Formats: sequence, structure tokens, C-alpha cells
Amino acid sequence: MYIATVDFCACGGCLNSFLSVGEPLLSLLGEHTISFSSLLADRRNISPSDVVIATGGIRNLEELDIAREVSRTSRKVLAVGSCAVHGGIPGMAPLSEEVASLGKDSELPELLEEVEPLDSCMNIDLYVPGCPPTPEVLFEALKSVLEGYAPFHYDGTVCSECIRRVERKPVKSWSAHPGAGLPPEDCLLNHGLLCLGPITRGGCFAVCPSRGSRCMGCRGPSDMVLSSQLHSMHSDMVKFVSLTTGIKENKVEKVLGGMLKEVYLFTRCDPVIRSKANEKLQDGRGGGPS
Amino acid sequence: MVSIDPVTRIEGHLRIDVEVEGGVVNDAWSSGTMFRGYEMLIRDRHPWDAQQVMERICGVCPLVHGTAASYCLDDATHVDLPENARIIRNLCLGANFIQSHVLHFYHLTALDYVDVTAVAEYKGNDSALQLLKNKVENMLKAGDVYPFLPRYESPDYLSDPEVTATLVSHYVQALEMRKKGQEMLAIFYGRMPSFVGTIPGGVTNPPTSSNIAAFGAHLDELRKWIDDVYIPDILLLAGVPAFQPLMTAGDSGGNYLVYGGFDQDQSGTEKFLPRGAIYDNNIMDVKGVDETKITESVKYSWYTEASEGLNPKEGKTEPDIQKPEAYSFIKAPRYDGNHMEVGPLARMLVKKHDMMVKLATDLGLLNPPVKFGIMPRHAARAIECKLIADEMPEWLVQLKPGEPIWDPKAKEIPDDSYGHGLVEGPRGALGHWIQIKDKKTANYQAVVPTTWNGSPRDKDGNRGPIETALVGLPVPDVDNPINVVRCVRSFDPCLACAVHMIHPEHNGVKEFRVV
Repeated sequence: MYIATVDFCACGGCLNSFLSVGEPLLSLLGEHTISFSSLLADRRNISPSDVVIATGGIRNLEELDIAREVSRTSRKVLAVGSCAVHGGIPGMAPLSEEVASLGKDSELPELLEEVEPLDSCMNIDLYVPGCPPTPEVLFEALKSVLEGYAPFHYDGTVCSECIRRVERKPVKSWSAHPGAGLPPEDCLLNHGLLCLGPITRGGCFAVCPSRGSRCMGCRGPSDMVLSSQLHSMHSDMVKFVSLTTGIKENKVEKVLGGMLKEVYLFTRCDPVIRSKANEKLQDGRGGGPS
Repeated sequence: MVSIDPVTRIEGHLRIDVEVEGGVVNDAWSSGTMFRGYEMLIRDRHPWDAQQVMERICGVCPLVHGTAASYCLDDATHVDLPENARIIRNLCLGANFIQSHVLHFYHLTALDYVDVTAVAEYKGNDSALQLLKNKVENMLKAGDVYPFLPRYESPDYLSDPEVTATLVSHYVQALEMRKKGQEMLAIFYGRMPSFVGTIPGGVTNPPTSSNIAAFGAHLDELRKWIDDVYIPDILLLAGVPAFQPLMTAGDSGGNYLVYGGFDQDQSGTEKFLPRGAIYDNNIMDVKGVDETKITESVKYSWYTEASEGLNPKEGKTEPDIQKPEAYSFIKAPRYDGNHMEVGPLARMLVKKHDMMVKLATDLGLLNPPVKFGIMPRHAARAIECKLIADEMPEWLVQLKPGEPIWDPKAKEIPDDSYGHGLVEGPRGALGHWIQIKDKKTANYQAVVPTTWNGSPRDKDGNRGPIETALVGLPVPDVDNPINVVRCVRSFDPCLACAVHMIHPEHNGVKEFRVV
């Protein structure tokens, strides 16, 4: 099969992770052919491919055109990384009028008003979220498409993979910015850190909490959050924090209301997630009251 | 066919236009054509967000940006960085240098010099190389040798089957080695890219006897490979007679700048890679570095005139794409009014370690007129990789399990403050500047290595380093501008390049892309 890697509004991190697969990547060349990869070689035009590893969201009109063309000429498309799946960090762009008009009446490609995830303009066959996804998850996803089997579905949350243990006890104050030196077995929420593990899709093996950093939600919401209109990232976070601390939900809501920017760091521009967050994210800058 | 110019790749977008006359480049323009505006994303946010957001400015060198942002916020919050934190930051930065330099030489550069198809002619008995030979033969039979081909054709590719087979096998080994470098980094920082683990005031993962031992084991393996494979390979390349013109071709003008990297004490006064500025190739006369002499010119950049000549401390990010003469989103940073090359060559010329001096002497580079071109840039990168890797065990044993890793003062955000973080990354000098107002980020500026190297002309019309290096470069065949891409790649520009070649005779524009 012909495999291509195509980048849109991406930083290169996902392809960096792809390269970290190491030697197994070269073993693919025995059976399959890489038809295009600007990371690896000099070929200039994207040719029709069987499998496309697409990274980055859509930021300008030129990327939109390329995405539509790739969608039309490819058999399977993998949306790889937080930007491709949810818009990612560039999705929090403060698109002032000044910036939004960039590219108008010039040779440069015109910017879109919002960064868009790839499924706004392409048929996506497999979503591989993460900033970036680990080489193992990425390689497994690619192999599953090449060999035609269903890949492992990470339907659990980051918490389900975390070695830290949560206790039901009150918390005095909340912060999205961790310090260091917390006991390695304690849940970060118990120390007042806004760790997004309870609402974030697993598959990263909770590597951030294990190194003392809070989960920032890079793999996007879990199946639970996505499954119904009754759930949104912040409402589920409020419920979980309330359960953990014993503080009433409306009080937690007040605290978290000021920290929404942190909850939607990687997903602010995703239309599905925005619609669930409804009025909470209407200021266009990635957060409500702050 | 899909047009991919410009295309988003790696962490940016560089386009090179060169004008060729009589087989030689007579003018060059370097343009960054994608607007990122990352500095604008974090305005009005909590200053700590800068650390996690700014590291995502680039997926290839997030570690350097995250580290610079940490130092920047350390400065703004006036912390006393604990020794353990200083050392862990150095170790992880060192691990990043190793994986980045290995990646650059083998996966991004080597194919400019080595004819992979020659491996099919290999006649030796080494079983691993035989296997490789079969693979290349099969690829050739199938008619697809991607990613090794297509390429720009050139008569001077290394084509000895024994040598090329060995080098291609090292290309494969290098994939594993850079993976090991990243794994080593992840021991303290969890993952790479988009690592976690350094925060304002210190680091989050404490040293323990087990993670120190794991780090040491990875390091031993990498050091052995650098000594046995990387260094001999670069010496082999530098010794090839056909590449001798590349010793001086591609000289960027002789101005070099190093902010200094790897703090050896808490104040950061002593650095393993020392600070310094060199003018006009006067390599024996290294000047001190005064940060206030850095200015950014925007006459040829798509930014408002209001930011012309500002020091990054006061810098602005205000796009203006209607400027008639502008051709880049990259600003033109200048030091004391001069364009400066940053990166491994600059650092090795300032440091002058015995190994670099000996190599430069052996290669005849110290004979006047002193010029350092494409090949010395690669050699300096390899030597630097070895020097850092060899020094890291010294740092590792200085870690003290149980001692502090973080200064809580970093949590006390001042109402108004200013901070800067100047570090060295694999590609060169990197600076982050923050202005805090009302406990929030009021302004953030990053001047990255490729801003220095890939900068457009400044207000006086003087070219940037890559532009300067391209002028005078031999390009005998305009359909195969191999020397242009060799030169651009020797700077390790961390972004996509589109090479637009204007040929005066047929007045056509050819588009090429540098990978």
C-alpha cells in the first residue's frame, strides 16, 4: 500500500513521534511504499495514497484545498495528534480582526476565522489524539489500518491508567499550575491541582501525572464526555471534583468557571466540544470569566 | 496534482529564492511564509502557561523552548533555582542535543552526499550489509526507492558500495539512537516531544538512584555510538576530495553569536558552552555579549514599522502584510547592527575545544582567508555532540536525591515584572522575553535560532546569514541545485523550505523544496 504523511497547521511533533517508532518503521518499507513524506524526503507533490497520516488542523484556505484534495484521492485518512483531531493549541488563537484578515488581497493564503479540526473537511477513518500520540499508539494505529483489523480503543480515562490514588477529602484552594514535590502516590486533585485525568481519554499511560505534572487534556474528552449531550468537559470535571472533595457542585462550578481556559486548552475550537460547552466558551478567547 | 507551496512542515515554513548567473548564485532571499503568532496566543494568560504553550511552538525542539520559557519565568519570579533542577535541566537539554544532532546528520543531511543506489553493488561479506543490499536491490527492482530518491543529481555523490552500504546501515542505526536519546530525556521529563517536567522554579520529577542509573545506562550506549559511528562518519565525509570546495563555500560572512548554554552554577555566570560574539571571522578575538545590543529590523518583514529596531524586551508582534518590500514573516534580528550566524559552528568557534582546533588545523581551515563553510558546520555539530555527551556523566553524579528540586517562590507571580531566558538549543541561540502586568502575560517575545540564521534583509539592505552564505555558491546545473540545499540544510533550519530558483536566461521560476 502507499502511505503518505501530510502536515497542515502542525508543529512537527507528531511526525517526530512517528519517527521515534524507530526500526519497525523501515520494516514497513519491505511490504509498503511511502508515497509522500516531507519529513523524510524530497518528493514535492502529494500523490494519491492508500493511507494518509494527517497532522495539524486547518488554519488557512490553502490547507483547506489540500485537505479536500487529499480526502478525495486517498482511501484511508488517519487524523493524528490533538491539532488534527480537535484543533489543538493553535485553536486557541486570538483571532483579532487584524490577524483574521491576514492573507486577504495578498499572495499569502488567507487565514480562516477559526482553526478547524480535520474532520471539518475530510473523511477521517481513524482518530489518533494526543499531543503527540506515543510512537507505540501511532504505530499500532497505522498497522491496524494497513492490516485491516480494529485497533485497540482507549475508552478509559487517564485516571484509569494513573498510579496515583484519589481520596475523598476537602481541598482548600485550586490551581492549574503545579508546584513540585507532591507525594508520588497522591492524586493531584487532592492537592488542589486541576488535573484533567478524570475527563481525558487514556492511551498515554498517564505519563504527565506520573512525572508530577497535571494532565492538560491533550488527548481530548473521553467516550463518557463525548457520548451524550448531558456531558461536557467542564460539567464532568465539576462532578468529579465535587465527588472527590465533598464540596457541592455549584461551589465547584464557581471555582472552575474561572479556569475554563485550562480545561479547553487543546479543544477550544472543536465544534462538537464547543457546542457541548455552549455558553461557557462564547468569548472567543478560550475561556469564560477569568 | 496538489500544490504544496507553501506547505506546513516541521515547525515552520521557509522559502529560498536564488538567482543564478554563470553557474553561480548571485543573489538570494530567505522567506518565512507562514505566520504562527504563538506569542499572541499567550497574551493575558497566566504567565506559567507560557512554559507549556511555548514549547509547542515546535515539535522538533520543544525541549529548548520549554527550557528557555522556564528560565524566563525563573527570572521574572526571582527564584533561586535549586542545584538539582539546574542539573536535570542541563541533562535533558544535553539529551536533546544528542538526538537532534544525530537526526540532522543522518536523516536530514546525509542523503545530500551519499548515493544510496550504490548499495546494490555491495560485494562484501558482512551479513547486516548483505541484508541491506538485498533491501535496496528490491526497492530498485520495484522502482521505488523513496525516501532515498528522488534527489537532485550531482556527479560528486559518494558511490563506493562498501562506504555507502556502511553509511546507510548507520542511517538505520541512527533511527534507534535518536529514539534512545528521546527515551533518556523522558526518564526525567516523561515524554518527548511535548515533554512535561520543567516548570518555573525548577523541575517536577526528583532524582532517585534508579532514574540516575537508567539515565547513565542510556548515556553510555549513546556515547559509544557517537565515538564509534557518528564522529568517524563525519571525518570520512570531510576527507572526501570532491567535497573540499564545501569547506569554505557557504560561509555566512564571519559573524557568530553565542548566548551561552548549560549553566554550571546557580547564577549562570559559568557556562559549559561559553557566551561570545565574533566579527568578520576574527576567531581569536571573542567579544562579550551585551543583550541590549540585540535589535530586530522589520523593513523586509510583514510587521508594522512600529517594531523597527526594537530590542526583544520591548518587541512587538503586529503583522502588516501590505508592506510593499516585505518578503518574510521572519524578522531580521541583528547584534550591534550585524547579522550573526548562530548554532554549533558559532559555539565551537567561541569555545575552541582542542578537538575542534585540531580538526580545523588538519583541514587547513585556519589558513587565510579564514572561512567556515558547509562542511565545517557539519563537523562542528558532530564535535559538539561528543563534547556534551562526554560531559554529561560529570553532571549526572552531581545530582543529590532527596535535595530540593523546586523553589516555591515561582508561584508568587509579581504584579509587574520582566524576565528573560537565554539558552542554547541544538540549532543555536534562543531567547524568550516576558513582560508581566497585573499578574498576567502582557507581552511575550521569542527570537529563535532560525530567526537569526534565516532572517531576511535588514533596514540597511544587508542580507541575513543564510542569504549571505548562498551568494557565490557554485550551481553548475540549475535543474539540480544540490549545493543550494546542502548549504541551507547545513544550518539545520528547523522548517520547510521552498527553493524558488530564478534563472535569468529563460526567466522561468522553478520550485524546489528542501527537506
